[in-house]
Amino acid sequence: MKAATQGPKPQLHARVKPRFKISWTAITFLTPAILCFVLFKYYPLIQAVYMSFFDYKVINPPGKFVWLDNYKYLIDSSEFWNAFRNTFAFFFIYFILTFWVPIVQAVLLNEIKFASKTLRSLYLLPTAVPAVAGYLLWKWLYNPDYGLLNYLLHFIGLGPYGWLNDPAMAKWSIVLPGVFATGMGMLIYYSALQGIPSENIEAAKIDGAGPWRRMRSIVFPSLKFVIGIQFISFICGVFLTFDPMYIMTGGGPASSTRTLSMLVFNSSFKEFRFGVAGSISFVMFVIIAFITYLQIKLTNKD
Amino acid sequence: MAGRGRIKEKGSLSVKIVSYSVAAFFILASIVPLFWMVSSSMKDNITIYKFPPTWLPEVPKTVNVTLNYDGTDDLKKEDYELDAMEAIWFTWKRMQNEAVGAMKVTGVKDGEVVYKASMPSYKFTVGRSEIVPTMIATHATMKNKLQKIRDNKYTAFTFLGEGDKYSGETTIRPELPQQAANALKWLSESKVVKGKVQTIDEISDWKRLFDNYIVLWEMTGGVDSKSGTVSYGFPHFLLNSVLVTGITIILQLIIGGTAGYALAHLLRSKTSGWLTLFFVATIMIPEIAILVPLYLTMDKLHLVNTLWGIILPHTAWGIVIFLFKGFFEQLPSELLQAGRIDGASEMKIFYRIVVPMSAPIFTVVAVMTFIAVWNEFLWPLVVARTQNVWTFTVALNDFQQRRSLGSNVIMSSLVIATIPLMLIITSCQKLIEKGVSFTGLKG
Repeated sequence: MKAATQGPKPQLHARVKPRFKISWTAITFLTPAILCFVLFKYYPLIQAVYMSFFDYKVINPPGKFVWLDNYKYLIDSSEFWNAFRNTFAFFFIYFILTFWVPIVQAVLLNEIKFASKTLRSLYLLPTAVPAVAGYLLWKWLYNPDYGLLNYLLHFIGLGPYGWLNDPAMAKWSIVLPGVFATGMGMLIYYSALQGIPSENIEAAKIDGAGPWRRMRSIVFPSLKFVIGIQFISFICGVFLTFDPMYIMTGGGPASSTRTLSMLVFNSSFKEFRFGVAGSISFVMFVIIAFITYLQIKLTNKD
Repeated sequence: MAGRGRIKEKGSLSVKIVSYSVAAFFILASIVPLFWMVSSSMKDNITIYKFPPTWLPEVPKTVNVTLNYDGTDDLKKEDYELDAMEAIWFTWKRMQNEAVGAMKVTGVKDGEVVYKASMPSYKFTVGRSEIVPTMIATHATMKNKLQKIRDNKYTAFTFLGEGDKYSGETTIRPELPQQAANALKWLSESKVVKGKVQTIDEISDWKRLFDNYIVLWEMTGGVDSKSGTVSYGFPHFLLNSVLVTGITIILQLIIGGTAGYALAHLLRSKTSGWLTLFFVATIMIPEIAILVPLYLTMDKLHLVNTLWGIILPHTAWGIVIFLFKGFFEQLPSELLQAGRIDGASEMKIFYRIVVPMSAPIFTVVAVMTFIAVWNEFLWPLVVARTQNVWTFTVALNDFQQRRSLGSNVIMSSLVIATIPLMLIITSCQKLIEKGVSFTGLKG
């Protein structure tokens, strides 16, 4: 820009000027994107809220205006509260089983200098199985009669377990595959670790901190920010998880794995109560928007 | 280490041990299921449901039988065919709990080969319930089924008449492997099969390990005879996925690239800031929250049950615009100015200068989009309600509910679905690491 304003030829100004008008190029470049976003994001969002006030009929939309009846119905519905509890239970199980795994993996991998690229690609292997395929594979491993897991566990005197067929275990069984599919998360933490200035580590070495101590006092604290961000996307991700429940258990046994997202799917595409589905969607949107708002706040703070 | 004159730190050994064992544990735990998937996909219908399970699939055996028709009355082609079918189907039915990979029957009369017939195990699996539902073995039952066998091409039969000289062995070996012995026992006791067993043997046939993949290819396609509906095969669903993923990537690169460039270089910073917020704020809108209205929108646009219906909503990803804008902002603006001074239009600057310089961001977005869209399940499940537009993820979910498909065939479908993603992930690891550090830290 500097070069342009100091340019020797006066006509340059004429060339620079259009830059600050909304040019036709800008319009042609932006129109498709704006159209797509309005059509596929904002319009459906408004529609979702709008629908939630109606006893929505697809044949003759929008149907009867019922004001807040759909929301009242939710509050009285035991199904909704069951799904709500399940969603939070899943959140805790995912947290206990999976959230810390990539952090530990990355911090420890950081200590291995030898063949670390190969190790990283081995960590990525489970990610190379398409998610749906992975769930079906695990369903086969869980098979109570012919599955590998019950077979392996009997060597150490455990089982046989019902896994996905057991209401007490179904939630844990759905989450367990996630423990071994954390390759992407591991890469995020690993790339963050590469940004630690080596002077800090050298300094700590000179101060006599051993490797464990360095991990605790320098490496781990430097990840705090990334962990915070990851935690928020983790909450959103868990909150919206649909695929593993739908594929592995379909919400059963005894509704023990039916979450809010499954409820949205069922009430709209199985029971065709679009108004109720809209109201659940809106409740979920408010929660997620709040969490994402926190995320943006947190990102900007740094 | 000590040789290099370094002082060994206290605790460095324990860190090493823990690091290596944790890495070993997780890598082993992720390889075992993969191994199990591949191994299961090669098992036959019997071994797959064995408990305790076996780690490796058994190599299927091909049973070769030579039947001798010396001294029989003049048999016609149909009679030979009937006899061959009985020898194959009835024998196999008796041995259905054993891992037979294929059966081949050669008919010999007066030292000349009369016919050859063969059937691989996957055809037997497909036809079993139709052709040999019970153990009853009579001419009448097989005569009834003969037309069905021909129609479905279950068993290959070539009639040679009086063709080549038979040049194989002429006696039965004294010690037979198990399956050949069982087949021999049944064939020599049988009253229906006219030919006498001249030789019988079995050989391991590793090619039959891939039968499940062939079943997958053949069984899931075609026209359903009962309802008359056309059903589609796994290759069709894979092709749908490839189309959806490919077109999505192209659209995202065009729409996201141009919009990102406009936001970074063509607008006043205030306008650009508001518009960026307009795009990026949509990250907050979760897919499930707008699932229903989006479906209804697609319905209004008459895009339900089309591939475009699956593709188009992907053009509105806030994160893509965010990534493009971030990258374009870092381009040296001197270059763009130089273009402007040379009198190039903004379009030309974008295509001639910006795009060639921005290969990294285009490839990163392409790879990240590929992974996300290839894996996608919920949206195709909702919007693709007829089989012809299913992506492979929807199809896989449907396969697991089909009674006719065994776990071994399902596992082979998983293996095939894994291959493209595996290729991308292993060959683009660098790009993924780059992409992850772009997106992971910024949300």
